[in-house]
Amino acid sequence: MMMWTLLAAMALVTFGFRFAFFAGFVTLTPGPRLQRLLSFSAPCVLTAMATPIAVAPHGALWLTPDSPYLVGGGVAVVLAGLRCSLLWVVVLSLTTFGGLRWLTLMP
Amino acid sequence: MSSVSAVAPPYPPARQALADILPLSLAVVPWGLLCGSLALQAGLTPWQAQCLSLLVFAGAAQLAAIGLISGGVGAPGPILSSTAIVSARHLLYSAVLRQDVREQPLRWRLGLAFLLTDELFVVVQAYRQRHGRVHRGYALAAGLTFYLIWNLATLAGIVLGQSVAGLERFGFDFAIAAIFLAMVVPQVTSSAALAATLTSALVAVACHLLAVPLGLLIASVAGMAVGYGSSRPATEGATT
Repeated sequence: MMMWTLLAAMALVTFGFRFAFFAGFVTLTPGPRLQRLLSFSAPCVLTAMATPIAVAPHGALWLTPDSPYLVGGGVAVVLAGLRCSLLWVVVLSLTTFGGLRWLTLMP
Repeated sequence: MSSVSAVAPPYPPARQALADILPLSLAVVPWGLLCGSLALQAGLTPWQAQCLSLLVFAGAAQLAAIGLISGGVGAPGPILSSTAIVSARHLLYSAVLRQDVREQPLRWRLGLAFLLTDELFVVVQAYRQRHGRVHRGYALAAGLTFYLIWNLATLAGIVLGQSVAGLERFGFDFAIAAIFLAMVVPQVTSSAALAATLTSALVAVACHLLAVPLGLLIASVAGMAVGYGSSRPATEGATT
């Protein structure tokens, strides 16, 4: 029962944030300070989730060029920096990752 | 070529939505598998695990909560505050898209808000760049497709259960890192954003290596604080 309450509360939080400015009765926009703070929220959360996978995939640092995680992640960053479309960034970095992984796993 | 707003979509919006959201949906399949199987291991029943994806529908928040629960944190306080911090970015998405849905009936606003994810926000913003406006049918089709695939992936994770437990051994976890990096880099358009993301990256890796609980939370807040502190109010006009 406890778990269901928690689940419902989590759903309320996520939906509440998404609907906050769609509701119509909140006519004020978030202030410039809050907007400035929130503008860093998405890149920071996403980075905080992605980086440990790229540089320490199995709980320990792996920073040599034979790490598919590091090289694949590097390819994603470079291609995205070159303004490639999201599709190409994902496809090419996954291909790099898979290819390097296959190569390094060969006996 | 005529002005942007006069250009008609080359495909029916729903078909274009499918084409745009599919690569992103497929890239989160491993993440969905993990969400389903890890939720079971954390002690949720299969139906609870599925409802997490059906109702909460926020991969990062779900995994953060599952991580806390399996780490022995059962109290709603820390779990809900992690949900709030990790989901705070949706407030911004909601604010950015508000002008597009303002005129829509309530049921459209409810539906689109429910479906609003990082991935939907990205494709909708790209659509706006191409066509000069947001099409509600496009957003709905993209959002529903993503929702469906996310929940099917979760279901598969629940069914496969234990056998997915070692998913990271196969390297599927890389897909989510790739897609998040691809989404972040274009958002880093200022030195403040660079400082913020670098801070989050360093703190996240440190917390990961030291197995610090709530590491995701600490890293996110640290990055946001650095970004806020190193940006000037004068740059506020240049929101992404």
